[in-house]
Amino acid sequence: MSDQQPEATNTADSGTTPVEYDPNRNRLVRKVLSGGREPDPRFSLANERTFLAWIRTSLALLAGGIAVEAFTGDLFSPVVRKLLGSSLLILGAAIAASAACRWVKIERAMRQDRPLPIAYWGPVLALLAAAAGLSVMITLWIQGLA
Amino acid sequence: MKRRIRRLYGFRPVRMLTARWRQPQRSTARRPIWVSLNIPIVEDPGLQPERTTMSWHRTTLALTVVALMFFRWYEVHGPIVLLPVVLTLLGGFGIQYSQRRRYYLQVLGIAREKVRADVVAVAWLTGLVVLVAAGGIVAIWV
Repeated sequence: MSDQQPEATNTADSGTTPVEYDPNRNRLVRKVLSGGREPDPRFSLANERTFLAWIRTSLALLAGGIAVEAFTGDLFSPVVRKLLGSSLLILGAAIAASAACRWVKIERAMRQDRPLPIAYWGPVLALLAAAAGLSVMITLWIQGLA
Repeated sequence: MKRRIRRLYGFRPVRMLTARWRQPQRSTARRPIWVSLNIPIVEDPGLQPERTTMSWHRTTLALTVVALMFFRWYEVHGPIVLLPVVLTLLGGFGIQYSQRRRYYLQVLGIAREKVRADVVAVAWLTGLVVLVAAGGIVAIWV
C-alpha cells in the first residue's frame, strides 16, 4: 500500500519530485534502512566495499582456522590445535557479524547526517594478530633452544 | 527481449527496468551513455562501480579458497564436508551471477545520484560466512 502511493505521484508530476521512490525495496530493506534521505551513492558504494573487505578478512580467518586443523598435523597437541582452529573460526564469524552491523550503522548514519561510528574491531584484530605473531616467535625460539 | 534481459540481469529484471524508465530524472542527474543495449557508462572519476564489482569479485575468490580448504577435510569427516563446500561455492556463483546486474544498477545509481544499498546481499553473505564458521567449529569438536 505504502509503496503504491509514490507511484501515483510519479505519474502525476514527472520530473519535478526528487527521486525517493524505489519499487525494489522489499520489507527487509524498508525495515533496515528507513527514514532520512538517500546518501551520496559514492559513500554507499564505499561502505559496501569496506564491508566486503571485512568479509574477506573473516574468510581469511576461516581458511586459517580450517588450515590449522587440517594441515598442522602433529605440530601441536590435539587440544591446542582444536582450540587454535576454533578460536580462529569464532573470530571470523564475529568479524563477519560485526561487519554487517557496522555496515548498517554507517548506512543509517549517512542517511541521517550523523557522524560515522568508530571502528573498534580494527585495533582488536591488530592486537590479536600481534599476539599471535609474538607467540609463534616465542614458541619457535623455545623449540630452537631445546 | 524480456527473456534476454532476464537472462542478463538475474532476478526480477522486468520490474526493475520498467521502474527505471518510469522514474522522474533529477535535473542535475547525468544521463548515462549506452555503449550497447545492455552496458551503460557514466562519467565518474572515482570509478565507483568498477571498484565495487571488483571487490565482490575478490570476495568470490576468497569464498573459493574457503571451499577448497573445507574439501581438505573430506578424508577426515567424509561426505558431510561437501555441504559447506557446496554452500560457499554456491555463494560465489550467486555473486558472479549477479555481477552484471550489480554493475548496471551501480552505474545508473551514480548517474541518478542515488544508489540502492544492497541490504539483501549483505545479509545473505554475512549469514553464509557465520553459518560456515559455525559448521567448521562443530566439525572440529565433534
